[in-house]
Amino acid sequence: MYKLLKNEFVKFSNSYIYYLSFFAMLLPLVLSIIIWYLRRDSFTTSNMYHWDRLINSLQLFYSLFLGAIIPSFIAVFAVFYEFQEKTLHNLLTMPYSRTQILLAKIISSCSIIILINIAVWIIAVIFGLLLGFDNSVNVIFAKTMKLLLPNLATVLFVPIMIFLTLSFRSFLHGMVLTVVCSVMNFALLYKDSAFLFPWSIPSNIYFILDGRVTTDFIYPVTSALIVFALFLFLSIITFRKMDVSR
Amino acid sequence: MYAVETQNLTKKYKKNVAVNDLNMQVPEGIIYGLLGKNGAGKTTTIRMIMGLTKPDLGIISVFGKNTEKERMWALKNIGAIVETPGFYGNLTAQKNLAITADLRDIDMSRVDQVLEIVGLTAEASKKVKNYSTGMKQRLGIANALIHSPKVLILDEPTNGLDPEGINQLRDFIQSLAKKLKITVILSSHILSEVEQIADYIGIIHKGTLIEQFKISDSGFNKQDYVLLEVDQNSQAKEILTKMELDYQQVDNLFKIFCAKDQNGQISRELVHNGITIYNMSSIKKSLEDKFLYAVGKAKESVL
Repeated sequence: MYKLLKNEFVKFSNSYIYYLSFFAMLLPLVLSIIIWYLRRDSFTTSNMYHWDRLINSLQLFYSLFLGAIIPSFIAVFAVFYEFQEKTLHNLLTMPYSRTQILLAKIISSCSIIILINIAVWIIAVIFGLLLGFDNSVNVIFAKTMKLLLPNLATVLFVPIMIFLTLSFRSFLHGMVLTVVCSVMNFALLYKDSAFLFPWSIPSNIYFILDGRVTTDFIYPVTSALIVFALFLFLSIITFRKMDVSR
Repeated sequence: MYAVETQNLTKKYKKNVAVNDLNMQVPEGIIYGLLGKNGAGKTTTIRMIMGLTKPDLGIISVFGKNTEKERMWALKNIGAIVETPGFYGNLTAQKNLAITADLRDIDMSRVDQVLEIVGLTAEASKKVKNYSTGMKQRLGIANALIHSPKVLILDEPTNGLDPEGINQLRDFIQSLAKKLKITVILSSHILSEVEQIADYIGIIHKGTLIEQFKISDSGFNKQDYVLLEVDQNSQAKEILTKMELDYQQVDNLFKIFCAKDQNGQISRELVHNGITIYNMSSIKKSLEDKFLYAVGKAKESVL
């Protein structure tokens, strides 16, 4: 299992997917930092020059749009790449069970998403300090967690996307669904029950942390765990039963 | 014990029977050619042996072990290229093989060894996306050989290769069987390709194995008949009858069914009787004849 996991990273080490995903996640942060730096005087006057405002504007990108697209892209690619390069036959003729192969893909995709988000979060903290925001550890931690936690919840899209890619053997269905559901998420933004819609869970977590909705934190977390477990199960069943010749 | 054996192997896709009650026996250390037209069921059979497709019915054994029950053992002892060999195009040949070696728990020094076996050492650090079809095919074999399998399965290995590449691959497969004592199963729809390389042949037609035989026992490459063209047909006919030979006359040609050592005697008798021989050629039994006969017979039995 460890070797399967290790080689999942090796396979994509030279591909553009990880870099593209990282830079796509980094782009809103860099743009925000530039804007904050250039307009620091007017932002200070209007009481906008602080962590909350920066994180709020970043979450507009992440929770509402990029936050679903990037993890979905990584997950879809982890499976679709094997179809595209016709390497699935090789993989399935290795002495590993199909469950192990699929779990390695899910764990590696989740790890990449977590690593990208932690990297973006660290960069955001560094830039925040350079901009001169409150530098006490407690404040930095409390404020920036609002950026990190909702984004970490996006790993729930991994099994959904892997299930769709395995079922349709195409990247299109998963990616179209992601875009459509990300748009639908706008309609549910401030709803207390938004956690029932998987694509709203990250933004719902953010709004709970920000105090804009009153739902208990346990609801979106439970909902995310249920969705993750359900699609993990469905993906494993689909992969185990899959006839790769069809 | 057979290297690979299938018993009553059957696979259906809705109403279409891809493989029907297939009983194949592949002896150890030989090259087995699985011959059949496109869509005959060759690839489905190979996929089932490799566990890529589940059979609806039947048993597959590798060295006597049931592959369904001992799948991991089977996968450790079989190497295969199923259809086109696939590789991560963004990685070099060496890295691709290193992934296989690592996943199979094989020492990394084996990567260089197999690259040398297939003659790709010089191109080892090239990205696979820049490889030609022939190079990919050879890399596919290297990938299948990395864990020193006892059985190597090659599905249509000459697909996309030029004549020179086909020759090289043929020599290479033969040397593998001889030097490394690997049992090779190769599928093909090209009769001449299989005829030149295989020790055993299985003819598959519409999912059924209709013939299975050893080339050396089948009488191939022995004379089937002599084709004779002379200036005086009626006189030649008399001589052939007098010699008690089995023959047929088709227009100006005689088809004489006799052993090769009788050819000299026939020509001597004809010349001695003042007959001019325009043409006398020895026609060998071919796999094509056998294949067409077997397929024809299978069609008749269906009708």
